[in-house]
Parts: sequence; structure tokens; C-alpha cells
Amino acid sequence: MSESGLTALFLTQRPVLLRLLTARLGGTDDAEDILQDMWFRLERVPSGPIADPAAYLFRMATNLATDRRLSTTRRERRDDAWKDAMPGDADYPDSERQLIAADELRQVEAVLDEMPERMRRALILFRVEEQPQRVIAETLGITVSGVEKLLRRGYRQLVERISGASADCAVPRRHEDEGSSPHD
Amino acid sequence: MTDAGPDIRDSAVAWHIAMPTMTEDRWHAFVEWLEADPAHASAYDAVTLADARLAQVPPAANVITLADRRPIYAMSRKPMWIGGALAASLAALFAVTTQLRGPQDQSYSVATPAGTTRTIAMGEGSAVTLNGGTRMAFDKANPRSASLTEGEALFSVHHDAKQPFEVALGRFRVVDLGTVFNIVRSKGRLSVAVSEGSVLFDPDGAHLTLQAGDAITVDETANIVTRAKAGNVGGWRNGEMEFSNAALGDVAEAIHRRTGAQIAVSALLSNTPFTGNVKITGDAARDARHLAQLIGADVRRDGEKWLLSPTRAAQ
Repeated sequence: MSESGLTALFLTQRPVLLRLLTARLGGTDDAEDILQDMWFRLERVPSGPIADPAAYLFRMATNLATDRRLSTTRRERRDDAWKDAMPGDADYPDSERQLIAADELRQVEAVLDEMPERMRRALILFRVEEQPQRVIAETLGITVSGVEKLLRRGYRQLVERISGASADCAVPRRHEDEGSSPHD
Repeated sequence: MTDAGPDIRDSAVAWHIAMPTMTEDRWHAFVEWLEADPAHASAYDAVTLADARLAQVPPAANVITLADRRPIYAMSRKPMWIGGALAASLAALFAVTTQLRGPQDQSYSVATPAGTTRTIAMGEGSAVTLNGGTRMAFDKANPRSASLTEGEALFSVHHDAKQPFEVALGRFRVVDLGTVFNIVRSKGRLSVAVSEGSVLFDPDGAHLTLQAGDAITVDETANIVTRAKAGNVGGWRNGEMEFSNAALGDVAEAIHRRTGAQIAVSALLSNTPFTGNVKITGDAARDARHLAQLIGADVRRDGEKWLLSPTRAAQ
């Protein structure tokens, strides 16, 4: 698929991409922003065959949405952690950012350490090494459906432990229902 | 709202795991699922945040421990003439002062067989894609460094001026100045090509700044640096390779790395310079014939090997 093919496809898929991003980010402003960003990125995509161009666009959109969510939650965490110590200062030194990153890494490594070896390896092969489930199955000597089960259980544990530890960061801010959430 | 309930959480996890292979139809179904209930979107959000944490973990579970136990960055900082024992003790000192947390040795290596590429996330939006036939060393204690022992890798590096990303290449270092760049290291020759941002090559010696579009080739033994223009940097990921005055032997090797195809070039041809684009299919027979056509050579099959030699007319 050529560049112009991808950008043309982007235009036809735009309404669904907007729905995806709006649902992910809880507002159309951020969603429109990301679509703009995608448009610029698509012009720089190296040419070459893309197996399923529509799926490629959706993956790109979810990745960008996740990046945006991450930077928001990191900022919130920093604000919470340093509000008292450094009032009114929006820019935090890199060393603080590194401390938070190191803390996050230790936390996820602690969760992984408690998992059975095979589950841990499946998660790392899937996410860190980005291997397809078929390759993970071959590497671990189990079936593809066995890999899927391991990944499901592994992710469930990760989500429970990690979002439990930073519960206030795990909820996207939804402009439309702000103030009406039953938990507020 | 955070506690989405186990069923919704399971669905969110299932969607997330399916995502790498989801077709357009499934994506549309996913959008509908997200929209159906704010609790769905919230549960999925929690999965992606946990997933982002997981992505920061180095691929340690799968590592081959380096036979050489020295920390990787020590290799590049010591001049070659330092004797083994002295170098080792200096390296040990270095390890103590730089690795404040964790056990003393946290280096690990990742090797890919020819024909298999692998991407390693390095945290903070950085990633390294290893071509096939490549061996790299990483340091768990310092995710901002890597060492390329052999082969080819494309670096897409999130720039942090306070902690630049460094790649050790034997005696040389490449330091990122905000960047996407490709490095090939094979048979005593290094090539560095930059597609975005810039890098600093050999900050301790030559101190060459390479901008986007720049490339250099270094003869590691003779210390000769040649400047060139960067072609399609990282194009090998899509099977697109661009060569400028490359020896045919190197072209064959580049194809081998990427696809695993065993294409050999006869000694008579292996130093012939080649300039042009090669589109690789991964089908050894087609790729060997395509290359033979481009250079006007004969091709014959010898078991798993494809041998290119001068045409009889040219002999």
C-alpha cells in the first residue's frame, strides 16, 4: 500500500477512529488532536507493504491514545507526589521522573517475580519482545490456546496488582460525566 | 469505577491480547464494545496502563548470559592497549560506581538467527529492532545503553539530553542527539546511518556529528572513516534495501541477515561494487535470481545455497 493509499484509507476510517479515540480518552478534543497527529505521521510512514492497512491505522490510534493516557497519569502522579514539596512548580527535574520510573519498574518486576515461570516468560515474550502467540507457543512448547490462557491470567494479575496500587490514576477523566460519577 | 468487575476486566484483557492480529471487522467490534459502557472503557484503560508498565521490563527472562562478564560500557571507554587484568579491574571499579542498585552484573545479550527480526522496547518510547543474524548486549541497570556485537539494528530513541542513549561498538561509541538511526557491524566494518535527528559518532575520538540523511562507514581495524549519504534507513524491516557502492559480498550478507536465505557470491564477484535498490521477498530462489539479474550474474543452486557467479560471456 502506497502512502497516498494509507492517507486515503485514513479519511474513510476517520469517523470510526474518532469514535475509538473519544471512547478511549473521554473527550473529542484529545481525540481530534491525535487524529491530526496521525495524519502527519502517515505522511512519514516508510513505504512498503502493510498486511492489513485498516488494522494498522487502528493499532496506531490506540497506541497514540495510550501514550497520551500515560503522560497524563505520570503528570498526575508527579503532581500528587510533589504538590507539598514544590508548590506551583510544573517542571520537575529529570531525577524525580527517573525515581518514579524506577519505582514503577520495581513494582511490575515484583508482580512478575511472584508469577509462575511460564506465565512470566509468556508475558515478556508477548509484550517486551512483541512475538506472535504462535512463536510463544513454540518457544514454551505449549499450544497456542495454552499461550492465550497464560496471557489472560497473567494480564489479569498485572491489572489487579498494578491498578490496585495506583487506583486513582486508572480512571480516565471523562469530560461528559465529570461530577456525575456515582463514586464522586 | 476502577473496580470494573471481573467479567468486564476479562473482556478488556481478551481484547488487548487479540489486538496484534485483529482485522478491521474486529476493530469495529472493539469500538462498539468500548462505547457500550463507560466501565468497558475504564477497564480497558486499566489494562493499557498495566501493559505499559510491563513494556518497560527488560527481556531478562529470555536472556543468554554473556560469557564476558564485564559491563558493556566499560569495553568502549578503555583504550584497546590496556591489558586484560587491568581492564577487568578498572571495569569492576566502574561497575561499583555506576550500578548503585541491584546485583553487580546485569548485562544480558539477545541474539537473533538469520531471517528473524526482533524488537526490544527500551522504555520511555525507545525501541531497538534487531535484524536477523544480530547479537546485542544490554544492561538492565542502564536502559540508556546498548552494545552491538555483530549484525544490524535500527534504533528509535527517545532523546534525553541529561542521559543520552549510547551504543557501544567495540572501541567506538555512538551517542544519540534525538534520533532514529541504523547501525551495521559486520566483518570489521561499521556503518551508521541517521534518518531522524542526529547522532555523535566516537565522542572520544573522531567526534563526528551525523545529521538526518548522513551516513558513515568505518573500517574498524584501519581506522578509516568514509562519509556517505544515508539511503532508506531501516528499510530492511520491510525488505527494502538500498546500497550505494556496497561490495556484492556485503549485499548477499545483508539479504542473508534479513531472510536467512543462503546466497553466496563467488570470490570473483564479491568485491564488485553495487549501487541500487533490492526488494526482498523472503523466497530465497526469487531473491537470488532477482539479485543475479540486477548485477548480470549467473545463479545456480547448490543444496540450500544459491551461488552467484560471473556470466560465462563475461569470463
